[in-house]
Amino acid sequence: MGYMDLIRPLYAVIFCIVSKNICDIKVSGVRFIIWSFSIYTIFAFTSYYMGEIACSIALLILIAVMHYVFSSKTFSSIICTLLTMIIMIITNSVSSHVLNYAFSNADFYQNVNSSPEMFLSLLFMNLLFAYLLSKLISVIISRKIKIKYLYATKKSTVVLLLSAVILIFLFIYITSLLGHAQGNPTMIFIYIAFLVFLMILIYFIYNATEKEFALKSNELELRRLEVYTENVEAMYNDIRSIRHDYANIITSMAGYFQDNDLDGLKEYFHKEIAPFAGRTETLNKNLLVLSKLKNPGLKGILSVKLIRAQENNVASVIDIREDIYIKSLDALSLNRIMGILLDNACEAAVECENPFIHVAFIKKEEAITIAVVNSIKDEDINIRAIFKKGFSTKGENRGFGLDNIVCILGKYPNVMIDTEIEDGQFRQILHIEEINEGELC
Amino acid sequence: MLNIYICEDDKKQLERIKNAVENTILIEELDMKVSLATTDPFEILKNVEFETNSGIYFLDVELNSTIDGIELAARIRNFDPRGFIAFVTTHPELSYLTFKYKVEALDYIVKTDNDNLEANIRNCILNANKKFLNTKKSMKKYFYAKCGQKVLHVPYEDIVFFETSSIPHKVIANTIKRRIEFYGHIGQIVQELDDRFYQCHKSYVINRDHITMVDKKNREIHLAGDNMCIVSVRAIKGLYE
Repeated sequence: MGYMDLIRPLYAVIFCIVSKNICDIKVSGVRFIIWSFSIYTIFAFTSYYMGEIACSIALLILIAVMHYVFSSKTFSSIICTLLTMIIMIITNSVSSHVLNYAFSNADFYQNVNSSPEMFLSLLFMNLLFAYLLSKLISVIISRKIKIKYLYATKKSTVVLLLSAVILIFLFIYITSLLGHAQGNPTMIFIYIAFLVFLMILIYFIYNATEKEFALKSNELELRRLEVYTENVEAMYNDIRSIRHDYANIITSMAGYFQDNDLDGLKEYFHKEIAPFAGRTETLNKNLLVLSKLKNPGLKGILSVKLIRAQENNVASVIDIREDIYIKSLDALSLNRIMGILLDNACEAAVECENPFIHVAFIKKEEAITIAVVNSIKDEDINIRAIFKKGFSTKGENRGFGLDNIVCILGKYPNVMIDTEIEDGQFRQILHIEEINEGELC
Repeated sequence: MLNIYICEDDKKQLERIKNAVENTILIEELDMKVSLATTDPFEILKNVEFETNSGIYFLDVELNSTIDGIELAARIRNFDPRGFIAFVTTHPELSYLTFKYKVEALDYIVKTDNDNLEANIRNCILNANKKFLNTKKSMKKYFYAKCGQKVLHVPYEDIVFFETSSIPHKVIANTIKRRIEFYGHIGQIVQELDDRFYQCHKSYVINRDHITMVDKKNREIHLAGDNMCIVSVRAIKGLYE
């Protein structure tokens, strides 16, 4: 084994750095160094004993495994590995070209694999370009692409996209391995054309998904509003029948007075009027209060969730004293957040002896506070843990919870959550600063 | 010295509350006086505006006026942010969250609970007095977190650790029973705090009093309430000082 055999596998380290940059995994420096070193070692051995193609496949698998160990997300591990590969191929081509001009008197492509200074300069230039490009891409990903839409994409679309990407880049990778790319500028143009094509493809798929997602949630909102309307109608019928009874009662009372029949009136009062007074109490006051809420989607979601809570014998109270209109969050985010909070509240409350949910919308100067309070059975909860991804007290596969709220709130710096457990109550307080659209950006 | 204000639109009720308050002051020998008992909320505001002492306020929610008790309380808060507000109402269960989060009311008194009205008023006054005396002599240090427009205060001793949020410019304060998000920068926060706090990682500031175990090998600190923070290589040496 010559020293070039030790220098060449340093590519693997650049791979590791780039892939760490892209998906912004939080991992301690020491762990990362250990991983990179192991990958470097394995890569060095496979490249020495098994040849180029075997070792590059091994490298890709290793990078994917590293991502999976750090993030435990299959989909994003594959995407990140592929992105790393794309970045590496492009930056490698670009830096070899630059160096080819720099070492114009020496035959760069012929000697790069045997001359350490040429190879090392290639390595450093590659590292520089790849580092910058991966940082740039990770910033774009974290700023512009809302990961939640990716989860809503149809499985078939994802598979299609993935296989297209894999095919294209297998082609690119193999051509680069076979050395066609070296010294061939048209090949670089083909790469860049592929990249642009891919970006356009992703953009369209992403847009379509976003629209589909919005459409779905609109449908849901509509259905919720239907439930709300039905309930309001039922309440209206209730009121009408009460008014009718009320008129009847007055006429019968007038009858007793006319006859001066006080005993009869007494009996009538106890038999008819007293129970009647109780009846007006059963009116669902929550629905009356909801008329103060001016976000239509929110109205629907609250009525649906709270009616469901009442069906589960959870006493629910909504408290809104002033007209509320929340304008600094878009309807989709707001509905999802409230849906999650109310579902959690209901789930936890059901287990208690005296289950209840209280929801309040409180208006302040240029701010709105939303309070969701529910009874809990067990106060011994680690609040920090319930905000972690995938956590649920109900076991696996129910993790679409508070971590989603945190994810949604990523684009709303004007919203703060205050979570508290006290006196058998679990309280989620959302403080929303109602700033103007212009200031938000 | 605490001033007591009562606002209730029913004259009979007003008299009853006033008597209950005056009796409590006499019997318990408290340093308080009834400054004003009225049916007009604006009269209260006029008096509170130039008052320097804190007060206890008993306010009816349904006032026969252009503003209701909650609006009155919100305006009183502008003049007397540390005052104690108690609502007198028939349906407290419908709006106690509004009491609490709009005006940070101390308590509410149920009007229809006729038999216990006097006792409830007495408890309310004693509670306010206790809190008033506590804040006066307490040496507790508080951390003030700007949570939107609201400023929350949390005693230093309750805070287990601070951590950065995945959302830029947000920091999370964790106590055992609470998690508060607020605007801030963890590097600045650690400078404001006292010695018991230690920055063990660029994303974590821990309260040393809450450490339950230090796992030197894995460089983890275990904290009260089943919490765990990672420690940077540089910080682990400083931790033992």
